[in-house]
Amino acid sequence: MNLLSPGTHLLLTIALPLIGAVVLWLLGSRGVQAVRQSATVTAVLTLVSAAWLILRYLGSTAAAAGAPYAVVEAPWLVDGLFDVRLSLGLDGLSLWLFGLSALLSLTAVLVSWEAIQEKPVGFYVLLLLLEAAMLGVFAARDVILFYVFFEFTLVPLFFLIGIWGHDERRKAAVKFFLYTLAGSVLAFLGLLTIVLWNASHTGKVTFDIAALTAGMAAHPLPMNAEGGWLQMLVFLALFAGFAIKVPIVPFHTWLPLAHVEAPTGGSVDLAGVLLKIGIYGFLRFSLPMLPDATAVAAPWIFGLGVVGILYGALVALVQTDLKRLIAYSSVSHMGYCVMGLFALEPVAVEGATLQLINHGLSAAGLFALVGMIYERFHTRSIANLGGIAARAPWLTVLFMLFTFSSIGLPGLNGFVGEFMILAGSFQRAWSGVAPVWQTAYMVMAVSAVVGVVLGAWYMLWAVERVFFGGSREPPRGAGHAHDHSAAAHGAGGTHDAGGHDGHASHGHGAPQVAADLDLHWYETAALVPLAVFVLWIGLMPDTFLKPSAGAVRAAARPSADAFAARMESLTVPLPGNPATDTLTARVVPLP
Amino acid sequence: MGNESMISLSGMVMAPVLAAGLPLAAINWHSVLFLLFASLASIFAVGVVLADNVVRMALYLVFSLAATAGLFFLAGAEFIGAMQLMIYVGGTLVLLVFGVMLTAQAPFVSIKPSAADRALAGLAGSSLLVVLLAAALSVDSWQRPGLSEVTAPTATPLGMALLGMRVDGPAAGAATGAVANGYLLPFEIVSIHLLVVLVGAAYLARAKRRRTPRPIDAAASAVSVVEGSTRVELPAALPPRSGSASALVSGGSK
Amino acid sequence: MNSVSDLGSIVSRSLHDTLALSLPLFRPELCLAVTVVLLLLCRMLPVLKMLDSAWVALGGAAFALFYAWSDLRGLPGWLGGDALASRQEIFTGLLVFDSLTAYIRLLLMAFLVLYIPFTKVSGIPDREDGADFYTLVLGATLGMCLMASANHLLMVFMAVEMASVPSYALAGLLKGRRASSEAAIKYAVYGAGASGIMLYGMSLLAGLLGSCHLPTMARQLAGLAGAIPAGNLGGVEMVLVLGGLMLAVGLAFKLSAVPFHFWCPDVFEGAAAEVGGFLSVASKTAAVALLLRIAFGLGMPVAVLPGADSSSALAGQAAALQGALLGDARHFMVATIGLMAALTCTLGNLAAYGQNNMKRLLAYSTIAHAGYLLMGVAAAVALSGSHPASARTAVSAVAFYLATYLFMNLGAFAIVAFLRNALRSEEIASYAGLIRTSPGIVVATGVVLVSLIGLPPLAGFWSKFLIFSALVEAISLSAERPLMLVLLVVGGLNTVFSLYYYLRVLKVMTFDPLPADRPGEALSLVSFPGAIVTALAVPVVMLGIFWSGLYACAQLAGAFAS
Repeated sequence: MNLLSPGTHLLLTIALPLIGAVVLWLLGSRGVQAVRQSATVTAVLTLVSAAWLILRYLGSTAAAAGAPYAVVEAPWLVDGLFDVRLSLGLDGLSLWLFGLSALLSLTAVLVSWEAIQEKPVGFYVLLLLLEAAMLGVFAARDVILFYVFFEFTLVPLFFLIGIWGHDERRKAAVKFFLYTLAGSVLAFLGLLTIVLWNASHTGKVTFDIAALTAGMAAHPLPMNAEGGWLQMLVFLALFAGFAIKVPIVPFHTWLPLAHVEAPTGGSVDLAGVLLKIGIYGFLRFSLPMLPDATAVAAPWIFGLGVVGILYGALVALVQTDLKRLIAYSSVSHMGYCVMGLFALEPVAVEGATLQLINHGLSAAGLFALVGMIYERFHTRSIANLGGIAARAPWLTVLFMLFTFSSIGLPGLNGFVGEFMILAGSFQRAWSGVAPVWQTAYMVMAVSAVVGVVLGAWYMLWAVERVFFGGSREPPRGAGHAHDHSAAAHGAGGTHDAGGHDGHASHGHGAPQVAADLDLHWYETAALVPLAVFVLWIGLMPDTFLKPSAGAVRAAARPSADAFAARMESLTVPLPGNPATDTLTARVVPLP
Repeated sequence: MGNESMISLSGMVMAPVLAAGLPLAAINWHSVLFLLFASLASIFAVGVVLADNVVRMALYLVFSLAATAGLFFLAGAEFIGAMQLMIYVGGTLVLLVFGVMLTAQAPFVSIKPSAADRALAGLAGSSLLVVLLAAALSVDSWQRPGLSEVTAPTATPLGMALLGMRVDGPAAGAATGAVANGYLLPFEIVSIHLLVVLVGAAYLARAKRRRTPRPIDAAASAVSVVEGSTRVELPAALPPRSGSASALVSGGSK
Repeated sequence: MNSVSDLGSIVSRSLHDTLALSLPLFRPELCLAVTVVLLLLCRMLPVLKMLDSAWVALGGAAFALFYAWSDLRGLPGWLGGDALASRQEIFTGLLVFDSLTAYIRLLLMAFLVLYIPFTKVSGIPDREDGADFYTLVLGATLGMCLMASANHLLMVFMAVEMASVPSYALAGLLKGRRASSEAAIKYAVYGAGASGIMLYGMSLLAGLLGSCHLPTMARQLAGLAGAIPAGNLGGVEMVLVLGGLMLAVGLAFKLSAVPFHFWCPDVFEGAAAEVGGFLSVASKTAAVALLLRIAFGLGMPVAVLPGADSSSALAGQAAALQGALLGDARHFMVATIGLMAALTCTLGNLAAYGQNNMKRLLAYSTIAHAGYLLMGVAAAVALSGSHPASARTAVSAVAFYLATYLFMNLGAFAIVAFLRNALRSEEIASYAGLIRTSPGIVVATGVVLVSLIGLPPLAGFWSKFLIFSALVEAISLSAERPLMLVLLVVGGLNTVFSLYYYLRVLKVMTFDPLPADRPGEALSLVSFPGAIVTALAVPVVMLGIFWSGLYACAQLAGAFAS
């Protein structure tokens, strides 16, 4: 075990995809087979390395103490004024997201196996760069590094969507990039203000996240008119960045377009990991560093989360495109995470972090399966699909599994997360808010439950129409489909995306045997790990909740305390009012 | 000296006002001459602005600047006054008038700005004038012109100052710790400046035809390309690529 | 009064001042002046005619760079070296040599050493025009050096004129092209107007304060409050404000600050990209230095009294810094500069949105960056009264910004120039699909533009970071809190605004389809133009990662404000 120090192990894990990318680039001339094999090997190695690192973390003393593990630090500029270091490390907050990134990257590589025929070298190099950046984001313990990795997740995806995407790929790529970048620059400015404010008090310019968190606790940003409401300004700046990333509802418009136009591998990474960075950012920066502003904004953002749940569900209900439907379901499900986070109730916050993983698994699985369906039938239109269950039973089984996970069937992972979030929210609404807010909170919590029902409705309805019933679209040979898709991409959008009518003329009419339509080995390899985790989290959530509980609660505590204080100040001090007493009583019901 | 020349500029504007502010009893020849020169300078300055004909403008400018020289003489700055006469009135303006007369062509001799332009310029100018007047009148020490006898300095201190040596007041400077500035540097450095500007003017005025087309010209037009040019040189900027080379050559031979 | 012996002592003192004190600290400028003369001589002698004037100019600039570098290294604070005094008035107080002079001069010379090969390769001044072009460039740079070291209003004016007049001619470099001539005329007319107004302002200030020597003026300003009856102070203040504003007009013109920025897009569009690069980088560097000179010269006077290290002088410093008029003067300067900064930044960024011409876009980007620089200057002046150490940090931030700006903006203009040679166009639309034919150039463009936005880990990020940190310092320490807060918010929002138009260029380069009639490879990195672009883009990356060395230099420059 001591062969490799944890720090080196972490560096190696992040560097592996980069090394793989270089190797891949050098192997480019050896043909598509060599390229995708080496990409797969790289992704597998990275996953193994990451899993091993996580196991080491769980076995270490750091896990028990909640301390950061595998810390790497390199001084950058350390003198009288500056204390800038580049540092990486893992803690309870980032642990599972780090692992999720490694896992979903393998999925993304595998689902692109046949789908990407054009310029495969560039595609896999970008995919591996994206993986390194995603791992880096969660491992960064330094604002600058965090931001650099954050930006670096945008660039590969920008090109993945823009070059290998579907017909409106350019518009989608630019919209995705500009929205996210504009938000992230604002967020970064907010973080800079925190850095500078901290520096003006401690006399040291440091970008270390832990030091900044401590600094903000010691001398918080002013939250009054005299200080220019600086804390609120910074909170809004961070909110702009992370809310666009999540996305919270009024800022979500880039998401459906980006998802629909992205290649399957890109969609998997986007839905599975990149959206999570938004919530991770809130939890890493906003909640611990800006408690007063969070306390003021929490009810409103909680409300936005609920709006997101309902809005996403309602819009998903009327979608005719399967991929777009799942994109909107992402909006809806991320709404739960937002809601749980800003309930500022320990159970709900823990549930939200678990739900990040859950949604990462289920959304990635669903997007991957939609990609497979598109490869087979060349349409994603719900109306033109049908009766897949009879022809591709295993595909159907997995789709059902992820659907049930997504709608929160008990026994699967989605149920645990949603239950914790809703339980925490009800607890907050019942006893944790001032009377003026109580009704509003109750209404919002109940609406979220309605959202669960809507979610089941649109997902199951879509499954029913797509997988059961009569076959509507003549299946197409897999080989033909590839050629066709490659040609369509290569020609730069001469082919019409939803164009089922166009396909009719392409129907070569060669009847396919069912075996051809079901999962290939690489598709199975891509999906089965996800399915395993779906069941594992569903059955033994404690395995995943425990290691991160301490860190998550610690991150949310400053804001939760500030929120409680604010609610107390809003409560009219009536004699014998039980509201304030119950604030401290916390019951943690775990299934 | 430098200060005086600075002040003199604002003096041109302030002159009539200061004159108007004089108490009646203080009128003497000095004041009368001052009034005379000041009003001449102002009237001709207005004349420059109002005139439509370029030659007249130049002529009015000569008168206005000459009257300003008179003001310098009155202020006891004979050297500057003389320089004003020699350089502006004698040199620059005569050159200007010659230039105008030699190059004048019908469309450019008479300049008639539109009424809107006039109104706008008048508004801007007069508002600036009002602000400057108000500012100038608000300073106490500027409202009482010193009528005491001034010993006319010779040109020696000036010349020495231009060589970097202040012979006129080192003692005063030593007391306050201030440096008495000599003007060697501007005197010398301006020669380099004039040289550079001369080169620039020559470049702009030179009507030599280009023998080598610039890369940018090839794109824009073939105006500057000489017919039958014998020497077509590839600018170093272009990578040695046959495509662009042939484009340039063909552009040159068109 | 002037006895012969007196005269003798005066002469000997003057000789000593000029030869022993001033000229050794004036070597970079002397190099430039000598090179200008050499360039002319080369044309007269048939033997030397063979010599390309670019090499002559480059040699002169290299010598000047060497001297500028050795001057900076001689300053106290540079690794323990203190061969030179930290502040030395030269040429009887007309100029001043201190760390700011040395730093800005070094920047300008480094600029020349990069700029001359760039123009040589881009081919805008060909063999015939080379001598004229480089004479103008060196002459203007000489004026810019004087701008950075001016200590006297006469020199301020002369230096501005020396920098401007050759620039007018440079703007008209492309003779026979209507746009270029129009640019030159526009620039000259606007410039003449601005100089006239600046001269008015100077005469008002000098008339009231009785001197043109900046430290003396500041001392007079400090003493003015006591010398004038209280009731009449209002009038004096009005004249001071008016004079200051008119002086600011001239400086704002050089900085292309709003509302005196109108010339900038037209001139940049009309003139060659090479000239745009010169005006955008060198001219701006010098203008910022001059602004610092004047703002600190008039706002923080007593630090520069002879013998300021003695205790009595320190006491005097404290007293004078509290002087009512000086405080007012600083407040006025901060308000003017700050307001201008906010307007300049915002307007520059917003106006850049609709641009289709790359040079015009860069012109507006230049205006916007002038805004960021002005923010730093405003913070420095705001802090100078009460917290000299923080003011020094703020000046260092501006100095650092100027250095990174040199590479970023010159890089951008170099790319425009080389692409113009390759594509025959400067329209953004003509860059479509460039990534397919010349990926190296697109990457370099990406580096430069992203650095101009100010994203880590590139050099532009640290510049903006240092400027913003100066603003935060000013928010928490100085009395100008509301304005500084506004500036911080405006600066932050503008950084976000600027994303779109810079990235649009990259989007066109990467996503838009390649026009069918485009020749194979537009521009490779393995070529002379590619080498120049690389030489400018690599420092942008390296300074983003290893920025501590440059920052140490910039800190040295900041020491002038003590």
